Amino acid sequence: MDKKEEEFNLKLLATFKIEAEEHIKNLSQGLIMLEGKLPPEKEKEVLETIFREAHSLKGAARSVSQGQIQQICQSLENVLDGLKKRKLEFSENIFTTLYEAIDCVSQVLQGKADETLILLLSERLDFLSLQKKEEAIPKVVVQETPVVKALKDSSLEAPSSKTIRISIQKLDELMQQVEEMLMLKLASKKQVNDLQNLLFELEEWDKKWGQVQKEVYALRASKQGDFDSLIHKKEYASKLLDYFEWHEHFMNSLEEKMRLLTKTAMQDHRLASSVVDMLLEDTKKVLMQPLSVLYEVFPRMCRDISHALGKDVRLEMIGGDIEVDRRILEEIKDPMIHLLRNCIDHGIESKEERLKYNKEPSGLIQIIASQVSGNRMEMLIIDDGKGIDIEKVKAKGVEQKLFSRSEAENLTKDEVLSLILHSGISTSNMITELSGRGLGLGIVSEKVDRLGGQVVVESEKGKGTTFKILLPLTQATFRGIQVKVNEHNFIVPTHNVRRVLRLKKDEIRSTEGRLTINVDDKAIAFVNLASVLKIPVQDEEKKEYTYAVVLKSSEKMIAFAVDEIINEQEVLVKTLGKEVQHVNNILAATVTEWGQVIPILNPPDLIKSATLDDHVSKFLEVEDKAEEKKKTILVAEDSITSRMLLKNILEAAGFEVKATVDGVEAFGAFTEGPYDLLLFDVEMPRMDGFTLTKKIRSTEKGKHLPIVLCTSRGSKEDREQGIEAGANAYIDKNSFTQDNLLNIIKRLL
Amino acid sequence: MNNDKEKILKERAKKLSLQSAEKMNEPFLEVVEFTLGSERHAIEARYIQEVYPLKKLVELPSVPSHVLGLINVRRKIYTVFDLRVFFNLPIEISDSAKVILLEYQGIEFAVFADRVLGASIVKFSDLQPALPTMTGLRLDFLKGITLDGLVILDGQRLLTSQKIVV
Repeated sequence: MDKKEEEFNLKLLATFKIEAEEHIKNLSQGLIMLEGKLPPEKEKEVLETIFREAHSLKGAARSVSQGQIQQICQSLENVLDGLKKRKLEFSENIFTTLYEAIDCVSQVLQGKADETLILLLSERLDFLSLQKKEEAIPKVVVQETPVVKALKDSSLEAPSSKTIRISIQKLDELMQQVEEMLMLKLASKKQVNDLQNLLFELEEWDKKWGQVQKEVYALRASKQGDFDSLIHKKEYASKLLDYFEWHEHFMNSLEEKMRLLTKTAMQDHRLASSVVDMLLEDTKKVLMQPLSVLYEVFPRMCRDISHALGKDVRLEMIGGDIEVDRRILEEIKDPMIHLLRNCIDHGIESKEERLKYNKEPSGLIQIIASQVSGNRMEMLIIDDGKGIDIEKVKAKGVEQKLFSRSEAENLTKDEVLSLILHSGISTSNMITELSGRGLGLGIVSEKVDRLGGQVVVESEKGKGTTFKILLPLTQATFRGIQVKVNEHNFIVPTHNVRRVLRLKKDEIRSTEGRLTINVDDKAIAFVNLASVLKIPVQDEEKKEYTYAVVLKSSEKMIAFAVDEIINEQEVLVKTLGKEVQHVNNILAATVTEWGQVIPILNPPDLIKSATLDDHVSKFLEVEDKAEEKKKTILVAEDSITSRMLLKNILEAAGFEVKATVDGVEAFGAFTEGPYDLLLFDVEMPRMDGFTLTKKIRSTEKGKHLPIVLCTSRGSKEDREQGIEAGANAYIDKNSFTQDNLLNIIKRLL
Repeated sequence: MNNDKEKILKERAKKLSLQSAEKMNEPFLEVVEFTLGSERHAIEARYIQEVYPLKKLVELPSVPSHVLGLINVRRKIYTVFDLRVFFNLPIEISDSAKVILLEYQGIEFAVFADRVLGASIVKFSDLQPALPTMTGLRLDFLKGITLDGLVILDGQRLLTSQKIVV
């Protein structure tokens, strides 16, 4: 195919995708409305709408030769037509099949379609449409929708189209703002002109000055006793006086001009600030979308999950008209989905159980959003399920060694509930695909935290649970504190910083081998930011004071030592791009007004990193470590598992590791680079460890290098053979321990 | 006057590019040549946005060694990857170091180059498959090698590789 034509087709397909997604959305919404039992005229209207949707989708699919979608739509249309003409009646079976058809279209769109599945589906649809109303509907074998499928359901990961609708009015306002920017362009042009003129005048001054320079030198010389001619002098003096007069005048006018220029520059700056600020404000408004955009996916999702779990759940949503920053909507979508899943899976009881407790057989989940102040909203996710069992959470906490039994008894209800959000406790005994892994709620609170919001849980046993999420409506301008560690600049997001401290040496104490400081009479861990980030730590000895920022995320607080705290400022956040999806400890970066790039740190990551490794002790012995160069070890091991294991152990112990897969490759690597120690497996393909050792010993470079052999052949003969080959140590894999290995290596180095 | 000059230059550039393309009666690749260590490499021009001097590189902590750091190109941040780490080539620092900004379907990043030699045209018929001595990642990203040893990297595979992204 011609390249241009190919490009055109791709473009066409992309447009079709966006259109199709819209149709799919409308179809789903219509179906959910129909399922919710409507008055007859309304039902007819909705049915008519979704019939048209299916028809347009079919047409669009035909124009881009998407045969599969066309086929499904045709069958879909037939069923809908039957329903419309009252030849068919609504039934659970019909709804399920219709939903599946819609999902199937989404799958085709995402290129994940299964040919046989489509055929089967069309067949089932056609079968449905051929049935008559009065006929007893034979039980069609409906594919059981397993929970897993509901999870992977396309409506949950709704293909987010990259287009949004914006009102013309908003765009017009924006255009006006942008036109204002032209003024700024003109103003800056005028400033450039004015400055050029000034420079031009200064050139004039330079010329005048040059003209009298000769006289000045002459006068200076005459002072030193060379009275050459009084007449001349007089002439010089008058020439100079003329110059000074001109000069005074010139300077006055220059001053006047400079003053004017400064004034205009200030005005221009004011204009620029207001234009830019307004434009920013208005653009934020353009990016605002009603909450209903977020709500769209929930009914379908709720239906699918509750069906899969055999539960009956009603979903009510209020506050869909509140407008929120699109980026916040996007960020909050996953947490909301997660919370909803949790409500259905853990919260709402089964029908039987509900009846037992005198509850309505169908559970109720409400999502209620309201604006609480100028820029904040509150979202409540309320279920009337079984509530959170405080005692069970406590027991789990004890089981997972988060606290002792006696500590558990002293915990208040609120403290226990906050544990659910922050510590990965899950009360569900059954780990399902949906929830129960306990990690989810932690992620919810972390995400909300990052948006500058807050999550609170309230729960009453037997009555239900309420999750309260407080969120900003627009993303506030990001503020950050710039810090410096060992010549590296970083920005710490201000909203995670609880305190900025200057500490004397003796304020840092060591308790149980960890460094701590007191903040508000509470001891908190104190770690060096540099060592958490794995950059060399600067010599701390000489300094009288240590600076630290106290970071808080998800209820955890740690003080990070830095070399310098530069300032706090507004920061323009720039993401690192698609190719860098997640860099540990780094959130994004910013560019300063001088074009300097500064990475922005990710506080939740930092706190995690700091708690994972024990940086505290490293902080104490930092001085000599920083100077030590990393020792390099060459590893040869044919089993990938053992290779990875060795590599991990050695790297964790601070060695640089080059891993090779057999003796031949190891020998190649050996000749290329300098190594401090060699560690070989004995049984390897191509060249075994004994031969390799002998070969290396025969070279000049390898004569005195420490070689360690590692094998499962632990017999005395083998050991002797190893020593004969020239190995310095022989490790038996059967009695292999990490400490043992590291001890031997340390002894040899 | 400036405008006129620009116009003339643009026309001249157009003519030149037409000439070279017209001369070819057979399929060809337009590439940008650069060196990594002492070896000549090239990437197809259609993946290349521009070549930029490597300056004010900001290192990132806790990243794999093939991530050199971040640079700012007209207030946009690019991550700079070092292909030498992948290809096991010697790493030296030269004064003429450049970065090549790559783009494919919205994915953008920069790769380090010791020296950028310029644009050139490679005929398909001159392309050979990999040399037997080539191993590992360079083979994964290889489009072909010319008779005079120019290693042509596959821009698309480079830009979409899971091995590069972090």
